Amino acid sequence: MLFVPIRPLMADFLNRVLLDNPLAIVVVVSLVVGLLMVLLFGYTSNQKAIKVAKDQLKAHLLAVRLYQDQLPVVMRTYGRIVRGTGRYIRLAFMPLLYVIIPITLLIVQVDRYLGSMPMQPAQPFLVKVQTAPDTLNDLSLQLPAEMAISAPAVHVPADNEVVWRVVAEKAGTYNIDVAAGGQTFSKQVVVSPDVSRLSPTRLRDRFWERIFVSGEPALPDNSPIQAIAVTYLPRNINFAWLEWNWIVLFFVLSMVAGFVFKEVLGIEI
Amino acid sequence: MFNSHKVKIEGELLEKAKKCAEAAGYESVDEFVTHMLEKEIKKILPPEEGDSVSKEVVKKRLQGLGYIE
Amino acid sequence: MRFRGVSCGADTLVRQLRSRVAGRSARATLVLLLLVVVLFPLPGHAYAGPGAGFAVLSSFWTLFVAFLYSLYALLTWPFRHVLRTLKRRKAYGKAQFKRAVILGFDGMDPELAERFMGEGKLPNLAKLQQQGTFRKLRTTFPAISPVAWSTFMTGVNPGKHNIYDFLARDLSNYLPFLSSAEIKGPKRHWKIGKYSIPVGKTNIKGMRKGTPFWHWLGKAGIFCSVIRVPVTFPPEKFPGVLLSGMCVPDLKGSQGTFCFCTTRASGDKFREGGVRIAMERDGGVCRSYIPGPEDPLAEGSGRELRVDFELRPDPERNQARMEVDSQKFTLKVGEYSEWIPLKFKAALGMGAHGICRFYLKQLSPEVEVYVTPVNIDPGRPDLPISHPVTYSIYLAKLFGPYATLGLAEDTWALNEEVLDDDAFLAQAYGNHEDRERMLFDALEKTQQGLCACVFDTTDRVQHMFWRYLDDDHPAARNVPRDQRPNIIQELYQRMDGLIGRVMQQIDDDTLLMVVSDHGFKSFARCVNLNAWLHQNGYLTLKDGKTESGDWFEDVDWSRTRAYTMGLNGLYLNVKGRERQGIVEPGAAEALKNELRTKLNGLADPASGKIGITGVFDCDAVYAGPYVDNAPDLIIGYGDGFRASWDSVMGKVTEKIFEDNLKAWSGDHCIDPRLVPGVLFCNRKIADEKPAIVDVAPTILKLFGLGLPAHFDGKAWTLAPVVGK
Repeated sequence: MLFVPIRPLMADFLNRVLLDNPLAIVVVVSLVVGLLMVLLFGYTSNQKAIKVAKDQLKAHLLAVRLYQDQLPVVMRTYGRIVRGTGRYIRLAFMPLLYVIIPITLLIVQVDRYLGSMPMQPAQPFLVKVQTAPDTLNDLSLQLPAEMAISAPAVHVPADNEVVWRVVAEKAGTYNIDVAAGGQTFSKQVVVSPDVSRLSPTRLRDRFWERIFVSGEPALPDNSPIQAIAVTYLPRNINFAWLEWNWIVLFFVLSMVAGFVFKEVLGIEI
Repeated sequence: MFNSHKVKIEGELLEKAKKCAEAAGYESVDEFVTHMLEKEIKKILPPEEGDSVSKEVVKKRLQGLGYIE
Repeated sequence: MRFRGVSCGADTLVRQLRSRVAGRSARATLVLLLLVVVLFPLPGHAYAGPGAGFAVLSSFWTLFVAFLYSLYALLTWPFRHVLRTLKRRKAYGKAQFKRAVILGFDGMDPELAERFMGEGKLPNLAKLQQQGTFRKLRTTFPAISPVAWSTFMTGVNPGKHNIYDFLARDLSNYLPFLSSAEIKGPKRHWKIGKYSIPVGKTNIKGMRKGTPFWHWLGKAGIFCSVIRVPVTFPPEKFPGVLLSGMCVPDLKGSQGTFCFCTTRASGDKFREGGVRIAMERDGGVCRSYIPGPEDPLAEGSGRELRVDFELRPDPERNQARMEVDSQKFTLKVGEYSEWIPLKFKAALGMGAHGICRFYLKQLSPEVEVYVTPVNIDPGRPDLPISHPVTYSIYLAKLFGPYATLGLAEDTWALNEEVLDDDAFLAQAYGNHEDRERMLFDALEKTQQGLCACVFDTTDRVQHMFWRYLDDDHPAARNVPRDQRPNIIQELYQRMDGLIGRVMQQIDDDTLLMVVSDHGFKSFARCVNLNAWLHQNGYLTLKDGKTESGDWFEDVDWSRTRAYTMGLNGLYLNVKGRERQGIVEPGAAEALKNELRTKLNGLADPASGKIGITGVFDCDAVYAGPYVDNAPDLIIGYGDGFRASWDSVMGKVTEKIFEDNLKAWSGDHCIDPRLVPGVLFCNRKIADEKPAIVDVAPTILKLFGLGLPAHFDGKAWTLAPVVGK
């Protein structure tokens, strides 16, 4: 997987310093990403052209005000504003491409920790297995001793899916096994009160989807099973008297940080 | 105009002021009254602090005028 | 569920990636995809990161503000249109033209224009002459730009607008002050610890009286764009846009103080001017600074704010890497930088914003950098230099930073040989090009109304390069005639080209006028009138002195009856008026007559040429409420003469006449009858002897407005256009 070398470092940092404080993690990540974003943007963009484009846009805005009594001038200027905005977006997007890819991958990794909450002891959760139609009735779930099935399996032929309700007795990191077609496939389940690295699903193929949503190795190519998913609950973070999805909060905070850093560093965005 | 204030004067005086302003070549009675007041104030009040500046300050202000060395 | 959203986004991405067929389409697809992502941000799309947010916010904000502005303009337009129509019906109903364009070419000389036209070098001016009008334009007494342009805009003589020279004198101490504007800092300061915090605003008072004609037009609903007309600082409120010109100070509050940074030891013999700053070498780095305004928190201490800079010479490439205020750029020897924004920082977050250009003069044997005067930053003006304030900002955003200093071309640096001819011309024409861009923008924006723009290049270049035009100018005697450049001819051709481009932009319903405030003559010989007054017993020095310092140092006022300062004014030392006056008011008239008789026809003993061709009584040439402030006599120097550099500064020397050896070799501060300006117009003007004072009434009349009673000028009669 990507970011393998930095994963232990990140885990160590998160575990030691910010273990039980998701808000602090979001703030720190937002600040760092805001700074990196601005720096990368500064290096990869045509700063002079962006400044000129922005200045000209501002000039056209002022022209609308200065010549407001002259409708033809206002209309011409409005056309220039639209063209100028297009020019600005063109100039901003290519550097954004450079910037977005590494940042996106970094955020995917952070999402493993902050996107969902681990299971709690005695909290029931679902294990969903998506498989080939011919093996739908040939699946079995094997659990470690600390876990138990709390309801019979439900088959959903329309989705080629089998769902179990499971409960864990105590905290820990477990592997559950799904047997199908004479083979066994495992899936990690984390039961913990702390911020932990979670992988909600294990997938076969689907490279891009794996990058975004899975933190485990791919299921073998010859596996009849397409996906094994565990329904971790999404995490909400309290901030400013509101409950936030961490990504939305990150989006807002990193933008604020970015705008601050761009001023400090004198980078045109 | 900002920092402008109205002063009441009698109509007859205003008419005379208008005539004087026109005769003296003022653009308006306002300009005439302002100029008269400025002249009288200069006679009565001592110059304000900062009105008279040193030769060094004068030299600095005139630097770059081109016509002078 | 959130992950489903992410999953969908990822699926879409995968599908998009898989479906790409070629590089171009992939790029277009990615851009399209990113547009979708950033324009419709779901939580999952925040994976696009804050960068996309920046782009969205910035562009959206721009569009949003533009939309609001436009909406406001559109919604209120009908009401404003009705109001404007009602207003304009009066003005435009009788207007003879939809638009008037006035190009002011400061100092364009009618004789030179005629000569170059005759040689076929100015086709566009010749065309104007052929189809319309070319006349000499009578100027003001004296023929000095601030005086003449004030008359141009107000339609009155100096006795009514109160500008008689660049300088006026303080009756209490015989010191000069700038006649056009007075800038005073806040009156009160709070002392807190080591700081003296100014309380209140800087007070800028315009000294010119009278109302510019564009105010009358504006009141009538006629839109005006006015660019760099002299003596428009501080900018006055009126319904139009205006960028202030001549008399705008630099950030130090002076009329332009350049700075010369050098590693040369101060003891070395070389000419210097402006502010000389030592540059220190430290290995491969040279360090120096640019002095700025006084620290606002250290009132009266004289402590200046400064901006440091570093220069790393690269002699092999004949260039240097410069770092100023966190900005890095490379400069070749003999090259100017762009305008560099500077912030002079004071404590408590206070400071001033300026712009300057660097000119790398040489790298060896010594490193020398010339820095232009620090201009007020038009994009962040600390003092108002336009009306509305946003106009200077608008121009700065549209075209980039530009010179805002009134006398932006650094004649002083060329006089002092800190700049050479080419460097000066590069600077002057750089400013000129900025001005042209502003003019054409104003023309595009002002399709109806008045567009007036003054170009200073004509004046500055003629001042500095007349020496090459003159047969025997003392400042160019060492330059063989066949090696003298045609700088002035090229200047006129350049201006002619500009007129040609303007003519392409205007239609038949536009009046085009080209005016200059005065002409030009050689300035080969200096006349120290204070020396003459001294030698003829009108001015007395303190005992034992044969010369004075500047500004009348060592003058014995108790025995002085007359003195001169500035360019053309001669003053009597009148009792009750001047602080140490001795001339009884009743005797003033006789003294004036005596001086007129003696000075008129004063000859240069070296050549026998007449140095003074006219002496004019202020009461004869001025009329109005401010004549009291005028010089008692106006001195009209002859062709080839001007007040000496010392005399202008109130200095008494032993010599009355001497050669002018400076690059500043042409002038117009002489007998106004010898230096009329030009008037070109694309319409026939019937009047044979037009004067600059007539411009304002003429424009008002052409737009159908009545003339104010106090005007001195007369409106010209334009011949009707056939078919109109």
